[in-house]
Amino acid sequence: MKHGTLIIIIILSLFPLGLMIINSFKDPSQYLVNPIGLMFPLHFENYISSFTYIGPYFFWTFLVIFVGISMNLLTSSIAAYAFSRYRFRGSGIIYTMIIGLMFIPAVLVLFPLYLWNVRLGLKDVYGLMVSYWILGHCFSIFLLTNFFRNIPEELLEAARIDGAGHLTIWWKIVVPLSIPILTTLAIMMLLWIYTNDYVWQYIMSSNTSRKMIPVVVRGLSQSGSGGADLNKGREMAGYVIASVPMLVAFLLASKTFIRGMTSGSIKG
Amino acid sequence: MFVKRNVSKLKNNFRRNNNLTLYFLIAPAFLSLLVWYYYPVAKSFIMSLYSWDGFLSARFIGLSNYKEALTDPDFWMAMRNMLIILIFKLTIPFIIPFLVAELIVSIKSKRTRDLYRTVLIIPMVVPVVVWALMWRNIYDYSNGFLNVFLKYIGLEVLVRNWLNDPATALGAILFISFPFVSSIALLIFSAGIEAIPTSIYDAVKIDGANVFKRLIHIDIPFCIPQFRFLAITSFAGIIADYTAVLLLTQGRPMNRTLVPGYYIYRYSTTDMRYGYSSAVALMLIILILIITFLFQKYMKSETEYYAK
Repeated sequence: MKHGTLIIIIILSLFPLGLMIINSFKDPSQYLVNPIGLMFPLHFENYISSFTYIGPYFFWTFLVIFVGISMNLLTSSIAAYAFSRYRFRGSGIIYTMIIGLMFIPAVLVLFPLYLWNVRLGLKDVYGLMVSYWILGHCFSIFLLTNFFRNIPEELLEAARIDGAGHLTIWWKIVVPLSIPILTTLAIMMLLWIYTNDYVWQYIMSSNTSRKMIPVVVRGLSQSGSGGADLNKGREMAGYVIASVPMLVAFLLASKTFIRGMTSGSIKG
Repeated sequence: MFVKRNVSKLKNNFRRNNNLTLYFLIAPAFLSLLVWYYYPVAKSFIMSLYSWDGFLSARFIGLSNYKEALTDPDFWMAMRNMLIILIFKLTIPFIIPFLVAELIVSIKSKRTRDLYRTVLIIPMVVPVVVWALMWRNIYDYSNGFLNVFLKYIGLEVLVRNWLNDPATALGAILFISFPFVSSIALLIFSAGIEAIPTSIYDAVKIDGANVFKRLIHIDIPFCIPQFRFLAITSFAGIIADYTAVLLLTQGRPMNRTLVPGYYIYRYSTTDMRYGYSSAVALMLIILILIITFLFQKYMKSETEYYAK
């Protein structure tokens, strides 16, 4: 009874994905006859055709994700080290100015940001990697500052007595102790950039040659607009290709993903 | 809430130090936000007093943009839709994950529990654009899953153009998260329920209370912090989000799916009225800040937010 209910809920949650996989093997006439069930022969060439279109953009997507996340972890963790251990003139207000941005959804101010990026010469994927680096600060610093506070003071004190400077302490003591939280944070940013953000990528890169996968996938459903050669099988193969990297990563590291999704949650 | 708390912590427990190096440590993060975020946003708020196309011609018009927005029926339609979406998303996607979490936690074997949880959060890692476009295919009039299925089971009367029918369009937008088992809520609730001390359950069992009584008198009160946390962290995003509208309906039909975020988007892209769209954005941000403030004032608790 319990299991039955849960299995029904699982089927309902995942049926769009099932539909996507089943239909990705159909040619247009098969899809017209039956848009629900599996049909033979399976048209694997949908995947080849879709991948030749999408494939090249994986490079730009990976670049944005890699640069955005690693730059963010670097600058956030250095700043969080200062915020977590010291109080200096203005530190309270600066901290509030940074993490207060968590309350203001950036989607409301995308156009001022877009115009400013254009003025600064930050185009398409270059603008995107800079945006993720900078906008990610609010949450990263919030999370890291709280985490760093729990590092025992004695460890840092010992290093200070040995004459270590701030950067040495940060790199030699704080960072090695924070690998789990940094991994969690990287996954949260990955989920944000690749799975949850679309509008900003669309505004920044829909008309340029360097795009990220979510925007390219959107283009797939429009190719042959006018409906002449609308190939749903090919379109859905593209959806599968775009979803697979995250699904594989999730199945390999589901514990870390789950930690990432619930970080910042509640005690008591 | 947490901003305040952390600041006061900084005041009490930490060493004072005005060493210049500390400023260098926070400089990359803070200055980049200042230059890249705060400056253009502040400028756009000033430009909300202008008639401005985003580039050259800017003419000071005082509060006219605000007046225009507040008297525009489209704007109020967007606010109406936003309110419907807000009410829906602050109830159904909380209640259903809570009940599913109850079901999962009641399973004895930890392995099975983890398996269910893992499978149920798979939708969370599928890109939102893929998800929305899949649903657009499902709603397709001539060959979408929904209409084909309805015809198959003999409910031909219900067949309609879901995304283009004013009566169903907004519902269709909301329905793309069906069956509303929001992954984050599920994880947070199941952690919350698992944390309820077993001694309390045992006591209840001795008193002979049934499952429903236990839910109402123990599980729900114990999970109030989780409900509150989810409400606080998600309402601003719900107010601002327009991804699904952009991908599925662009506000059609007859503005029935227009939301404030997309209203801003429309005035910034097709009409190039950046002053006007900035005015609307500023009003929404103020609304969000007021709600945040009210949340903090009237929903105070001993709950502490921290990183695991």
